[in-house]
Amino acid sequence: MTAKGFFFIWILLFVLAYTNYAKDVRRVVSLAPSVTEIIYLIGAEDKLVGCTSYCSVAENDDVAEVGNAVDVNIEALFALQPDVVLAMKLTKAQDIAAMEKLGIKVEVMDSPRNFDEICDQTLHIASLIGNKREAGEVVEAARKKVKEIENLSSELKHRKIFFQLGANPVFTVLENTFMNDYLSICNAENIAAGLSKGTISRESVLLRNPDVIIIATMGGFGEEEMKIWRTFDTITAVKNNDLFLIDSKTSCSPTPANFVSALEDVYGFLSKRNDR
Amino acid sequence: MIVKNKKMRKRNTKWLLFLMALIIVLIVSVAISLASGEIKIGLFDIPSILSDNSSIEYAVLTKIRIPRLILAGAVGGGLSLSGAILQGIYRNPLVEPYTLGISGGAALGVSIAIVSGLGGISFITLPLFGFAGAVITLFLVYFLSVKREGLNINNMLLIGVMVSFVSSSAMMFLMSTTNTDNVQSIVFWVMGSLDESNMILIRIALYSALAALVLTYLFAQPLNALRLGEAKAKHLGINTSLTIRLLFFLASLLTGIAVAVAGVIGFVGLVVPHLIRLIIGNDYRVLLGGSFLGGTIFLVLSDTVARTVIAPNELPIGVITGLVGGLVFIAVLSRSKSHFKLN
Repeated sequence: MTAKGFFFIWILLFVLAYTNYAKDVRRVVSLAPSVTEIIYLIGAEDKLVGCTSYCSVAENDDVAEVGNAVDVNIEALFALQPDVVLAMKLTKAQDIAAMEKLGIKVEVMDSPRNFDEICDQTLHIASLIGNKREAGEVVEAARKKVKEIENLSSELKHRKIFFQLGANPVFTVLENTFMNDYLSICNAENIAAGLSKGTISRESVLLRNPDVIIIATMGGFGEEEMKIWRTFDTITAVKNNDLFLIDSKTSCSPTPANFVSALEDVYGFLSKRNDR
Repeated sequence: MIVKNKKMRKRNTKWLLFLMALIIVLIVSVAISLASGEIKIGLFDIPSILSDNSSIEYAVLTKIRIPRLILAGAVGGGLSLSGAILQGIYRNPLVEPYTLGISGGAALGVSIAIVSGLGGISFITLPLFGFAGAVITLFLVYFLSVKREGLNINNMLLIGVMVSFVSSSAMMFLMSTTNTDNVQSIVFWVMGSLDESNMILIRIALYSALAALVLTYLFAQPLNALRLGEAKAKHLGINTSLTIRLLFFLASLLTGIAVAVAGVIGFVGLVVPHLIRLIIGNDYRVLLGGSFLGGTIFLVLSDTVARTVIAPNELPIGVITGLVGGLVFIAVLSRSKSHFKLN
């Protein structure tokens, strides 16, 4: 056989191996709640054999728990004989090394920093475990919805927003995060723009005087934080009663569906008060 | 006799000067704290600011800086006083208010409240559960340590340390079996912060710290006698068993209140009493007041640094107390000519 022939066969084998790869994956373990949600979103949940104790979406299904967001029970995970483990950077490096030593294929992914990266991650997960067509549809629908809201938002007044994510100390949404996209898509400005760390003092929030305050529910702490903010009546948002709670589960977990849902919430808050 | 009187007078003057110096430092610290922050407030403008309640400066002073200042003072003073008392009754330099499991108990109390959904999450119910956890732990440590032959100090210390481990493990167990929302709530509470806006809680912390200071002064001489050891103190006519029990409860309740309101703030109760010992000596008549004032100054200044050093961001207060407290203490101890001693 000629060199050209060899090259051709090699390419063919490579392409076949690659295209068959996703189809061969039957057993998937997810080590991040958002990844588990994406797996459900693209309809690949029948392949999910293991997840973390925080993956509430898989609660009622017969999926083994193999750890929490940080610690992994390697033995339990190995016993599941997964074809691929999907993890985020939060998973301990030692655990990932231990899995790789056992011959388990681990895909470690970065946290998405904007809506586009959420879409890319969804497509990437599908390329690893299958259901590419479904993933494409999910992403396409989300993109369409986001574009729609972006167009509607051009009518919204440009306002300064404080988006609180955590308490003790007060923690804000930063620029270059997917949560900041909720604001920028809705033609709003994040008062924390330019900050590199999320801990922000109350004084600083007072000084930046937001027009609207959005607080994540944080398992009940959000309501308490709202009560505290209401006592600061020099803030425009408090004067106009423009304080809103947003569900932590959807707004903080980066999946295409959650992103759209949270974006709709933020758009709802801002459009309600657009006359001001 | 005359020589002795002269010596005593000299010593009393020295103590008085020391305490007055601490009060002056405290006043300066309070002034620095009130004037520091992202929003510029001149010290001499404060009276005029306080007369206009619509300004942003008024909101910053009355709703952020002054409540924090009072809480920092109360918690710092309380923890430091508690540390001085506990080091005295256990005659162990490593004991601090959290050694006996009080903070662990409080944290476990809060975790149970959050996980079980009891009482809901509010800034009143969580401190209540925290305090309940602290009180339960303190009785547990106490009753497990009481034997027929009396109270064994070393047993008490060990049981306290073990209870502390058990409660922190139990808390970790709860955190790994519950949902993300609850984990988030527990973490927020445990991190500890002086960012408390509820004036009722702040008042409770302040009054209990001041009351404890007055009460412990009744035990200044018995504590001095205990420096010689339990047996010798007994010979001097001190009811050691009662003294130890009462002081243990007092210090633990004080710690419980501090933890319930402000979470776990480390190093204050360990480092400040030792620094005061190194400067003025071990006599509890000056040490108790000195530790209280020292703790107040230390936490007021630490909080000011935490609020301003990386503004507009804020550092957790524990970072400052740990770093500054630990480093200052090492520096002072290694330069000190005399050996460190508790008696």
